[in-house]
Amino acid sequence: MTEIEDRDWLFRRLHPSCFKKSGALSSATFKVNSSPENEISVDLARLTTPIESVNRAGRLGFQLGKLQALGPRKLGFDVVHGPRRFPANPEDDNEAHTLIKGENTPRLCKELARLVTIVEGVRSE
Amino acid sequence: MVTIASRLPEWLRVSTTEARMNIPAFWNPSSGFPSVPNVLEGTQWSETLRPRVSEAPSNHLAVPVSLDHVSSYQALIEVIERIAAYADLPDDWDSYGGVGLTEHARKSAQNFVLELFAENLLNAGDTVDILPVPTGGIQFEWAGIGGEIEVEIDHRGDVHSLIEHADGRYEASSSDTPVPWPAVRDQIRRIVG
Repeated sequence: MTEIEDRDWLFRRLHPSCFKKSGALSSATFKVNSSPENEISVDLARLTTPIESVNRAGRLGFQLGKLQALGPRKLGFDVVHGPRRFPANPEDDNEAHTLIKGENTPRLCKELARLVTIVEGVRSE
Repeated sequence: MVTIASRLPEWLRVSTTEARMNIPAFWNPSSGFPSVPNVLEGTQWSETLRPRVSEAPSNHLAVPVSLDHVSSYQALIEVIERIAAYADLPDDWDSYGGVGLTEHARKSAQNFVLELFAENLLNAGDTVDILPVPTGGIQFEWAGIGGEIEVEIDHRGDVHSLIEHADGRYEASSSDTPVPWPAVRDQIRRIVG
């Protein structure tokens, strides 16, 4: 487990359907894991690369968003490192996997979406 | 005359009986469409431009080609097609375990867009965004002079709303209590003006 600093960057893969006509990210992106679980998966940027993170989608056309850990923490979330390991398929291990944890609401999803900026020039291959 | 039946969902073109049930009063096959949706008020109708239902056994809705250019009809068709596409999203479509639109959500969303269409809110200001929610729902978003509103139809087909007023105040519906159509319509109107 790696301690995550407030200034650490987090990556989140973004499907084309996540974006509004204006190009802004929709809060729908973060409406995951309904009650009682409230965990949003991201990657810790310093343990991966943008292209590695976006390519975990396994499909074309995904973009990559980034936000600093301080942002979700200010909204009341915990940000904790949680590597994912697959003994049967170690090639799928994700040492950068991190969770934004805490009680989530539609309003917080909207606030989270506003924290995200797009990593320019990075798309899944 | 161009038939757009192939572009409409199955439930809109099954039979006259079901069409009467599912299509709001503005599409009334028995009366020859004397009432038209609000969005079409003011349209100069002629006999050749009047929408009509094909005779049995097809009972397909048919509209003249010129009606195909009415922006609200185009918006309706596009939205219905988008809802169908979201229902077809594969499991894990967002790479985080997201699922496509559930059947409950799809039906609720179709009814919702017909209500929007009848109230001329489907393309109000061209600001509506329609997005899939990874938990099997769908979300409609508007921005306007009153702020922003998100209307989420969840995987059960229940409607919820979140308003961010222009002054930054939030107003969220209860997650336990769905918002009925008249209330959500009024909320949307307050935002888009």
